[in-house]
Amino acid sequence: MKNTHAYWCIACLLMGCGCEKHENRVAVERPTYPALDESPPPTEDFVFLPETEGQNPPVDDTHADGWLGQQLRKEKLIKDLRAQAQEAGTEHPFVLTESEIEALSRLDDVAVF
Amino acid sequence: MTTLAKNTKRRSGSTYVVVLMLTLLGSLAASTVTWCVGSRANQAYKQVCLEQAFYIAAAGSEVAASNIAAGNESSTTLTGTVGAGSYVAVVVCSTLANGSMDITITSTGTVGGVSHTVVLHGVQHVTWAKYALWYYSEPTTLWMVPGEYFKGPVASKPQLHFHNKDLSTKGQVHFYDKARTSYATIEKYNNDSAIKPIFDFGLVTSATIDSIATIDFSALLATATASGLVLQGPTTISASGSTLKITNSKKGWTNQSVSIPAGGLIYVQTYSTKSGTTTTTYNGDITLSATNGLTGRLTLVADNDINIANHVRYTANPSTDSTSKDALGLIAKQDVVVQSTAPNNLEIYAHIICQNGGFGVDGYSSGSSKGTLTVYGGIVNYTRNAVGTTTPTGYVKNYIYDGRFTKNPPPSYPEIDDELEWTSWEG
Repeated sequence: MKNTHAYWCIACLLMGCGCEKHENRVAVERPTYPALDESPPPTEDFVFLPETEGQNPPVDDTHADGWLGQQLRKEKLIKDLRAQAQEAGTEHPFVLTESEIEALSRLDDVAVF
Repeated sequence: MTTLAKNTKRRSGSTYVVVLMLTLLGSLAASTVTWCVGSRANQAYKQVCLEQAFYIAAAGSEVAASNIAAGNESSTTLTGTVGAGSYVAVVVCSTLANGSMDITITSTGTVGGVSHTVVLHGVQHVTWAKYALWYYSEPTTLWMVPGEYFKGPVASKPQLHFHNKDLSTKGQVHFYDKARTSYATIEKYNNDSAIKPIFDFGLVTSATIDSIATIDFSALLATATASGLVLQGPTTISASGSTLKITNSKKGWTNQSVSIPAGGLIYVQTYSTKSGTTTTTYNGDITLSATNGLTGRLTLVADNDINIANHVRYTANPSTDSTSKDALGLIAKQDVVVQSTAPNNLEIYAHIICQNGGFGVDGYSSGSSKGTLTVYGGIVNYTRNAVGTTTPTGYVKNYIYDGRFTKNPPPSYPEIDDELEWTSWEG
């Protein structure tokens, strides 16, 4: 019987220890935030690709190679140079004359850089 | 019976002592747990405050940076609140010996009595001189050939095309700095799989490109009017040391000796005259040479073209003399043209901007090879133009980026909108 009393004492003491004086909670007005924007992010200005990807950027392999590729590249070059001459006028320092364009068109394989 | 009662009393007494001891131990354990929990909670709270203070300090530094980007380059203190905390951002501006502005931002964020400070040293505007090569268009497919390399950032709107001429002896095109193109792919000549350009920082494809349309020539003219030199009509400038020999008919100058102006800026305007019903326009063109080398820092601005008649060099060559302070900027509204009469193995030491036109060689496809064209600086042009062909005619490119210009560009060099950089960051 006395043991039971003792256990009650321990329980009360332990409960007493857990009690502490607390300040009354004050209601705080919670800030309101705009709705979450779940639209896709804008195009990144600077994205550093992993080195492996960077070393091997996607290659445009739609161009023909070999003799056919050579002819098509030359055809495009001559067409572009004539378009440039027409647009900028023959007085422009970077524009080639028709005879210079003709001379380039007679070459087998030419590239400008 | 008496002995039994005594034994019972003794047992009760010892039980009482044990209970007391257990109570004490329990209380001690409970107190310890309570103290530990309280201490941990306090630490966690302080840690949260510290992290919040860091982000608020960073926010303060961004506010200060925006303030500087908006053109407010003067020492000031900015304060504000973010959520539960506040920041104090101190901006200190000082003018360096070379005329450029040195800015330090010290921002302190405070939350719940806990503070964190971040410091940004050497904050400055980024100028167009940061680019080794920038172009927005090309008249036809212009190839990058083996042996070319870029030690500064490269940006292009058109596709990058890579040729295989002399690949085995000259090596792959090498990009040592950031590279970006608006195009989604690159092109390899003849689909040659041996072509493998090297991108140290990767190649950003489908990228957005800055616009050079924002370069403000009227602001450059205002600066030249205030602290430089303004000329009108075709002008020939030959630099030798810190003296410029200038020929300009409007001024009546023939090889007039002029020192580099204090602001380091010369602007050549286009002007018109009217006689009766006839209007004659005199283009703001500059014809430039500096065979003996330029001493000092100078930016030449032309309303129209800048023509390169001969070598344009520095007195102290920065490629061999790391102490060289010589710097030249060439800014043309239209083209920077290497004249057909320019010598073989031409050297141009300058950073070049062509707002509406481009840099190129007059007569690049005729005659025989003219050797190497060295451009020690960088080229920012709307339209990239040809300098030679694989025939071979014109020049073989030798473009070397002048790394000094990232921190110390030529005088009054145009800034890229809303772009700041800093040399170091603490926090």
